[in-house]
This record gives sequence, structure tokens and C-alpha cells, in this order.
Amino acid sequence: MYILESRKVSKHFGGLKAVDQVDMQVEKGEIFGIIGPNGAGKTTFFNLCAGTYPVTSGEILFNGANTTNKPPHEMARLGLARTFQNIKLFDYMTVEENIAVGFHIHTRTNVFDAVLHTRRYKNDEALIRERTAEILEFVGLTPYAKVKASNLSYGIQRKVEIARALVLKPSLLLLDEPAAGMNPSETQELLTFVRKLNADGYTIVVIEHDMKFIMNLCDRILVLNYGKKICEGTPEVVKNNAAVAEAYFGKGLAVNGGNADA
Amino acid sequence: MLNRAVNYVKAHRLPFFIVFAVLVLAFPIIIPSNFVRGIAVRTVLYMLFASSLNLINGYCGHFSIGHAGFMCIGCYTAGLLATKAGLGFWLIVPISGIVTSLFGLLVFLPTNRLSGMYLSIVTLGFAEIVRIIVLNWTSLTNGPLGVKGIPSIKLFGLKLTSTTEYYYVILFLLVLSLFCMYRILHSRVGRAWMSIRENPDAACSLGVELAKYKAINFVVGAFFCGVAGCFMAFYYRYIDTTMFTIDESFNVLSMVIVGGMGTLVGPILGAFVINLITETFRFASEYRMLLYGILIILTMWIRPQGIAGASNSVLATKRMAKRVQSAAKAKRSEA
Ligand SMILES: Nc1ncnc2c1ncn2[C@@H]1O[C@H](COP(=O)(O)OP(=O)(O)OP(=O)(O)O)[C@@H](O)[C@H]1O
Ligand SMILES: [Mg+2]
Repeated sequence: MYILESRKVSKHFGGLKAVDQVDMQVEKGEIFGIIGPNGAGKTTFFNLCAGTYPVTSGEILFNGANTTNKPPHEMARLGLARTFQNIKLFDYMTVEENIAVGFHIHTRTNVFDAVLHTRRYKNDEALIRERTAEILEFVGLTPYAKVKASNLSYGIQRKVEIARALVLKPSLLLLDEPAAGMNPSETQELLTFVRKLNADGYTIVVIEHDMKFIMNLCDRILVLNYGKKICEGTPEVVKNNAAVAEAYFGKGLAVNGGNADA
Repeated sequence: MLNRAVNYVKAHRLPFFIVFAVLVLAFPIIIPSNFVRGIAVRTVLYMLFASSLNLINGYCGHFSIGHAGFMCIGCYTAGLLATKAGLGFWLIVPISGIVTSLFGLLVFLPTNRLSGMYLSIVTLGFAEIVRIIVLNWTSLTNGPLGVKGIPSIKLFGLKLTSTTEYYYVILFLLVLSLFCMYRILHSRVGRAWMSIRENPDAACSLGVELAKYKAINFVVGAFFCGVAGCFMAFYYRYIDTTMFTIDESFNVLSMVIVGGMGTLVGPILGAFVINLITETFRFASEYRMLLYGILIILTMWIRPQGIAGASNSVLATKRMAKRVQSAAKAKRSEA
């Protein structure tokens, strides 16, 4: 059984086939990469897996269950967490509060509990306080706990977004261009961090343009171009694939040997 | 200037609060004029109306412009239950709240896919529909003649008759409501609301059920409006539909905008300022609307988030974003 599987999944926006008959199988415990030129349909494909968009056709299976067209909040409860290409934090809330929202599915306080400060409210708040401190410590964000998200640097914001996703205790983590806008040392740090998460048992699917990052990190890679899967396999296979080289560099280079690593 | 004053008060919260609390509590005793006391009761009543609207408009990304609809339902529920069923004030307060919140749900459910301007227009339409139905359902509501003879509030078997006593009743309701609102906002529910206001996509990806929490937001906001409406019926002793026109919706909305959305203090300040103007410029009758207009424009100009609003309110964000950008630009050009 795969943790995430797509079967002939397509998404059309009007006449545009943003994702076209894509098959993918992600195994539990691996780091799976998705690459492709700009506009290849990577983010759209993510959105289909996470339930943000309904599919035009095809099926999505998560942990063996058919989850096609399930809304994002249900996917979150099932154990799928994600980050966004253009960071989506709660800008005017502090880092702590951003993280606290992540506990939504693990807590049950309702309006009455909140007004009366029932045992459930107290337990929930205690849990949130304790685990927020842990998570902030784990990702090294403790000093920023009280800072408004919009006042943070880009790299830190990315970290907050990942931390917030981790709060869900997901079985699968989707990262959309986590290294975008980072300098080389930040990227290196991120690489170590993602590896650490993987070692802790998270299965990770990552979209990234930074080839070195992807090739170093991933067990297997899927390549999209114009919505279609053009290649899938280990970094070695992808590097030496003629179709991939052609997609990235055009025909000329591909004919001359096609080493996409150059 | 204004920013600095607000920051000063923020930095010295406690002493300001004590002075303020004493003034508020002693107010009807210090002031000899019954006329002024009446103004004070109305002002506190509007503080509660404005606070309930702020709950809806300031925290969950809604922008209701039809609050008079909920006011009307709360007020008429109380008036009818008091005159036709003979129930007492303290029993009607929660009933009125619950009935109004059910109507909140009723407005929200069919529109849960709408957002922004569209939902705003629905709320406006809803308010007018409510008013027209109440006006024409003569057998139940007495139509244009209104509901007369609402009895006075009783406390421990004693009839409350003086304005001072009503002042303390509405003050009590306001403080109790603010207390509840504070607790809700600082809990899982309040955080879910704010996450939706800040970024619905992200909220959804974390498992926040958007439709459900937006509905809860409407329901809770309408509840407190119903509570205030109940007091309004018992205080005026006579109600009719002319009290719930579009003007009234905009009246309460202007309090929330001027005071500031997304904080609990904002609507309190806003209600104070607007009522002060209303009373001071009573001689100007309709021309006061002009003054409100100018005031709202000035607020948007000088302090887009309102006197004490959170900088992230629906109206403020765009202007604030522009300001931040130009400040950043200025800094860059200095360097
Ligand atoms: N909501 C939408 N409506 C219409 N077209 C869309 C929508 N979202 C994406 N597209 C189009 O679908 C195509 C794929 O976009 P997508 O964002 O998935 O690409 P991507 O591979 O993530 O690119 P990038 O590397 O630039 O992030 C693009 O042509 C884009 O313009
Ligand atoms: Mg993308």
C-alpha cells in the first residue's frame, strides 16, 4: 500500500490541461521530489492531492482510502499537511498563535467551554502551551514566539509554516518550494532539517526548482512538463533522462548527450 | 498624534482602567441631570450593539451591513414575549439571544459560499426583509402601531423605574457580554475565526472547517445583538419598525468603523464618540449624517484601523499594506 497514490489524475482550467493523466505512487517513509519547468502543473497537482481543487478526472488515494475531492480540512484530519509556494501565514498573529491554530484538529473546545473555562478548555490550552513550546524548540523558533508573523524574515516565515504543519502530526508532509528565496546556507540548513524530519518518520513530498537540493535530498523524483509526467525514478535516472533535459534546456542540448546536471 | 496617544494609553493600561471604571460606575450618581443619564443608557446600549457587530465584522472576515435586522429580531422577540407571554426580563434575555442567533444561522446557511461584498449585500437585504415582514405581520406584531406597554424590568421582585437603575442593568449586560467575548476570542474558537480572517486557505489546510466556524461566528455575534435588543425593548417600553431602518444599520456600523474593528475596546470607543456627536448635534437633525460621513472618511485617512482597531481589520489592511511599502521604500532610499 502506498501512502499517497494518484491514478490518471487530470485538472483542466478551461482549455488548459494543467495536470494531465498523472500517475504517482509515494511510498511510506521516502522523500519524494516533484520537479518541472515553470507552469508545469506541480502546484496544481499538489492542490489536487490536498483537496484544494476538485479533480477533472482520476483518483487520489491517501493511506489506501479513496480521498478524491475531499475538502482540505478533511485531508488535514486524515494526516496530510502542507505548506504553500507563496507562504500563507496568519500575518497579524504571533508565531505562537500561528502554531496554536495547528492544534485545531487535536483539541475540542467549543464556545461554551471557552466561556465557562471547563475542564476541556483547560486541558486543551495546557496541551497547546506545552506542545507549542516543544515544537518551537524543535525547529529553533523559540526566540520568535511572540513576534507577529508579518515581521519575520522570509526564511523564518518558511520555518514557521513548516512548524505549523508539523503540529497536525501528519503522516505525509507536502512542501511546495520550501527553498525558494533562501540563500545557500539557509538552503543547506533546510536540507538537513528535512532529512531530520524524514528520519523522525515523516514521509515527505517536495516541489523544488533548486536541482542540487532535490537531487541531494530525494529518494525518487517525478518530472512534470505541460501537465504530463515525462519521467519518474531515482535522481540518477532523472539526471540522465533525455526527455527531462529537453524539457529544461530544449532540444539542442538533449541531442548532445543530455546530462541535465550540468 | 493620535497614534501616540493610543500607544500611551496602551502602555499605561491599569491606571487608566481604574479611573475609567470608577467614572463609569459613579456616573449616574455624579450627574444630576436625568436627561444626560438617559443619553448614558443609550450610549452603553449601543456599545453592546456595536460590540456584537464587531464580533461578526472584526474577526472572521465577514462584513455585515445589516445589523438592524438582528436588532429588530432581538427587540421584537423580547417585546412580544413580555407583552403576550408575560415573561420577565431576565428570562427573556437569553431567549432573545438564542432566537436572534437562530436567525443568524438562517442568514448564513444559504450564503455560506458567498463571501466579501456578496455576503454584505445579503445582510443588507436580510435587514430590510425582516423590517418589512415585521411591519406587515400585523396580527403578531401590531404592524405600524408597534408593540406598546412593555413592562419594566424587575429585580428580586422590585420594579426598576429610574434611569439610574437601567444604566446599571445595561452596564452589567455589557460587561458580562464583553467578558464572554473575551473568553471566546482567546480560545480555540476565536483563533479559528481569526485564522479564517487572516488566510482562509491556510486555515483550511490546518483542518479548520471554514463554513462551520463562519456560521458559529454569525450565530455568536447575533446572540449578543439579541441580548442588547432585549434590553432595548424593556428600556423604551415601546418599539416599532422605524427604529430598525438601514440608517440604524449604518449608525452601528459607523461606530464599529470609527472605533476600530477586531479589538474589544474599539466599538466601545466608537459608540461613545458617535453617540456624543448624535446628542451634541441633535439640533442639526439629518445633517448629522453628513458629519458621520466626514468622520468615517477622516478615520480612514488618519487611522484606517479606527481609533483602537487591530491593524488587520478588513478595511485597514489595504491602506496599511501601502503604508508599510512606502515606509520600506523611504528607508531604502535613505540607505
Ligand atoms: N486557478 C487557476 N485557474 C486557471 N489556471 C491556473 C490556475 N492555477 C494554475 N493555473 C495554470 O495552470 C498551469 C500550471 O500552474 P502551476 O501553478 O501548477 O505550475 P507550477 O508547476 O507550480 O509552476 P511554478 O514552478 O511556477 O510554481 C499554469 O499555466 C497556470 O497558469
Ligand atoms: Mg508552483
